[in-house]
Amino acid sequence: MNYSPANPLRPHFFVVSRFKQLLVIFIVSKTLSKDLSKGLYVISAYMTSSRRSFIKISGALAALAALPKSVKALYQDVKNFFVPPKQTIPLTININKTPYRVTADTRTTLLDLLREELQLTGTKKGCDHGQCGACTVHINGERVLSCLTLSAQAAGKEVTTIEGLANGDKLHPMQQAFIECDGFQCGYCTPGQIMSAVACVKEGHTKSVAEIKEFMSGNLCRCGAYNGIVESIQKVAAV
Amino acid sequence: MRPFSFTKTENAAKAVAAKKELTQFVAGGTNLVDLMKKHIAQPEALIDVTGSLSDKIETTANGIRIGAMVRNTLLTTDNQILSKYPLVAKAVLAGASPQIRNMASTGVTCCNAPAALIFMI
Repeated sequence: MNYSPANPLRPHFFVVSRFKQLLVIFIVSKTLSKDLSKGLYVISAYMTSSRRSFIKISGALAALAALPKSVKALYQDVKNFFVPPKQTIPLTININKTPYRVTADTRTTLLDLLREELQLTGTKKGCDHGQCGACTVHINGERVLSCLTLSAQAAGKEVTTIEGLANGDKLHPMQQAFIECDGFQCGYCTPGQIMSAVACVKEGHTKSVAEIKEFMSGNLCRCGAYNGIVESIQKVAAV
Repeated sequence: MRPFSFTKTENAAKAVAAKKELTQFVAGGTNLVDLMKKHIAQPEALIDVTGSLSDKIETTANGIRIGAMVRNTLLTTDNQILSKYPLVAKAVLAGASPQIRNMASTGVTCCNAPAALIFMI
């Protein structure tokens, strides 16, 4: 081996132990992900080494090439264990007489599908746990809570939201009654109240104030507009 | 909520056959979806049994037969229940809200695990 410093292809930097040489190449190729720069370092290393170190370096590089794949697979396994990948499902749902075809995450509730995917934000998210009734919609004509309905379970059914009540510019009688009887203050619970009220009248539970209150008990109003809401329902029921 | 696969089955036998560990049956969803949102229930797969079970109330020789998928509301409006077992209708009306009663199934109402305080601690 000639390590003469006069040889321009063997600069002094590389006249170190083979171990250090390998270490430098290892660190450099690990640090620099770009192929071009990696290639340049590899070439310079080859040019300054013996046949033995050429084999060593080749072996080390081959090991390096194999490493990222297994590391990546391990990373994916660990990731899938802690963060399971989402699963999607294709759905067709009729909302306000319009068929919608969506591919939704299986976890999507009908409420989130309406608000986040279809931009039908009239339906409100209150507690998201089925206690406040702000998310009430009709499925096949019956009032249900969209926050506890998986959109996959609503597939193929007829959904009516607050957006589907009015006939063009003409408000639904219940919407009109809520305006006339001051059935709301802040208005956040109102879409749910109106959907519930429409169903309440349809079910015929409007014989007394007590009955209306009992059958509207699934809709909470923090403003306390209950008297106006009961009045609105009585007004529509009387028609 | 933990991601899960979602399938529907046509009958009870197929639903039972498809049941594995970490699989849950879902009917109305009023309990399970709530528990899943709170990370109390974390199933890997859901099987929708709403189409697999009976949703009819029938009078039999010994009394009355209520299908597991009879929604709570039907229990409060069905004439057979109202004439023979009015207390059942009264009991159902005393619980939950009309919206929940429209969703919840009788089968699960009888054997559910509501989100008790112990889960929240």
